[in-house]
Amino acid sequence: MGHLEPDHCHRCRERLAFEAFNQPNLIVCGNCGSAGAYFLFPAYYSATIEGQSALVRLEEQASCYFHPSNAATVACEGCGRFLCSVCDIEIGRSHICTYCLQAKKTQSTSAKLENERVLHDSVTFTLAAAVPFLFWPAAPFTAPYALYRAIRYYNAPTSIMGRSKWRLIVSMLLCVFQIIGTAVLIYFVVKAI
Amino acid sequence: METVKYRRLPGWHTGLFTRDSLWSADDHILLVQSSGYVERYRRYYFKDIQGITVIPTPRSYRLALAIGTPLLLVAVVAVTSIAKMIQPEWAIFGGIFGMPLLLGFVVNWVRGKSCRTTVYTAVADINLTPLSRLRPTLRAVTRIAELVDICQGPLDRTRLNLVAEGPAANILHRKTHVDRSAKRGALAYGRSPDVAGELKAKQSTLWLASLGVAELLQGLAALALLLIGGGAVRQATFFILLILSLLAASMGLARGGRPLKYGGIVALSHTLVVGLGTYVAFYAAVISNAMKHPASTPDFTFTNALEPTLPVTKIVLTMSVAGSLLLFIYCVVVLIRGRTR
Repeated sequence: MGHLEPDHCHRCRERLAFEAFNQPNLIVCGNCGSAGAYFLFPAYYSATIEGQSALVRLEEQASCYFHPSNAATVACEGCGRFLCSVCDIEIGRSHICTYCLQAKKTQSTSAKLENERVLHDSVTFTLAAAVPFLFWPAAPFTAPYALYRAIRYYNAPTSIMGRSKWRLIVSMLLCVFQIIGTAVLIYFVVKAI
Repeated sequence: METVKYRRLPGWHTGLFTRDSLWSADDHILLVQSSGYVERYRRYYFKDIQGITVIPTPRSYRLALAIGTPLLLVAVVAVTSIAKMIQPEWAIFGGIFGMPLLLGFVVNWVRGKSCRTTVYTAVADINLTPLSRLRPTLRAVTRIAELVDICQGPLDRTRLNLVAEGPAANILHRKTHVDRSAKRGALAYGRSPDVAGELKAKQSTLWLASLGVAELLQGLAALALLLIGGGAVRQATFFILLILSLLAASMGLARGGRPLKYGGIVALSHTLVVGLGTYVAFYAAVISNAMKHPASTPDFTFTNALEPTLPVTKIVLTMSVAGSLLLFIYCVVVLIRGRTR
């Protein structure tokens, strides 16, 4: 399937009427009868009409640090370099360049830059609850390690959408019970021998 | 650490080991792909979104077909087992395998029609996998559109016309879901202007033709049961014709590729309702035969239960013949109509 345009019917590729856009229901194409919902926003035509003209620098304008032929539109809030619309990276209300973005990513100070997170609470909960449930002889080994993880990662960030710490708390309790149980078992085994 | 407040948007998607969900913030939507232990995030900023399309797809129908067929077979096995025509253990087998299938079938049915949602930006078209069912998708996309409108402002007709080329097609009307009459209008074999469309039309023609042949053979199979004398010949003719019809249908399915598009769906749903309905009725008649005459036919088996000894079996067989032939005629009519358009 070729590239589709959001203002064209997905089947017959006919351009849709203005009234077809941004409706909360499916609409039916008058040409081919296929149904679909189409949402179109000003960025669609802004990119075509204003995209090129905004780039070209006039004689009296400041130029971009990275592209001297382009007009500067904003200054980087990290290093102060002038940036054109190509180099400008907008994160929330701040504008930064690629170098500062890289630095920010390394320091990992912004939730808006993270692309991946390990869910330590889920890993710990699986170790503390699921593994001993499926294979109980593993409990003497998994319980101390799960307890270590629960303490180690108690303050570590969990899911970016926000999550409570109940998995870690339950894991800690389960680990303590498993360690006590293992100790009691060893005591009785040694006593029996 | 800087935190962002996210709000959950309707819709979710599960893969074999992943679960995708969609969240909205003040200035972007967040696509979360989670394996349970690691979450991956993709952000699409409202200022970059040029458009969103929601296109209905036949995935939910295919899923219903894929789950429904083995479910029906399991149900037949369970019913024949309960009717003591085969060992009672088969009922337990039916229960064990049937319950997950039934659950899957109901969940698929409750979630509703499927769709594909694409977000268009200047650099890429992104498929939003959590928005794969029509009902939650329309709710979520309407919410996203409101947020994009706050960020970008309303759509301007004059400026849109500056970048558009050619006259716009009219829209027929607005519907909450896919309109059946409009779908029927979209049978349209050979009407698509591009090469891909023509290929699809050819595939649909193949599918319908094979379905027509299959229906004809099924009708003849049922007719053979009614008319041919001699148990062995009758049953052999029935089974051979039935197998041939299944072969024809599966060949059409394989060659047609997407039978649920371009009107194949209409023929297929009719086959399911009428065809399977008559089969179920036929087996019900067979079971009632077995239950009514257990003493007179001590060597009663599943095979000789096909003998139309009771009037009810004859009626069901006649209905099966009529239904299959009607479907055959329907396939022929749709094919002829498609060619003349």
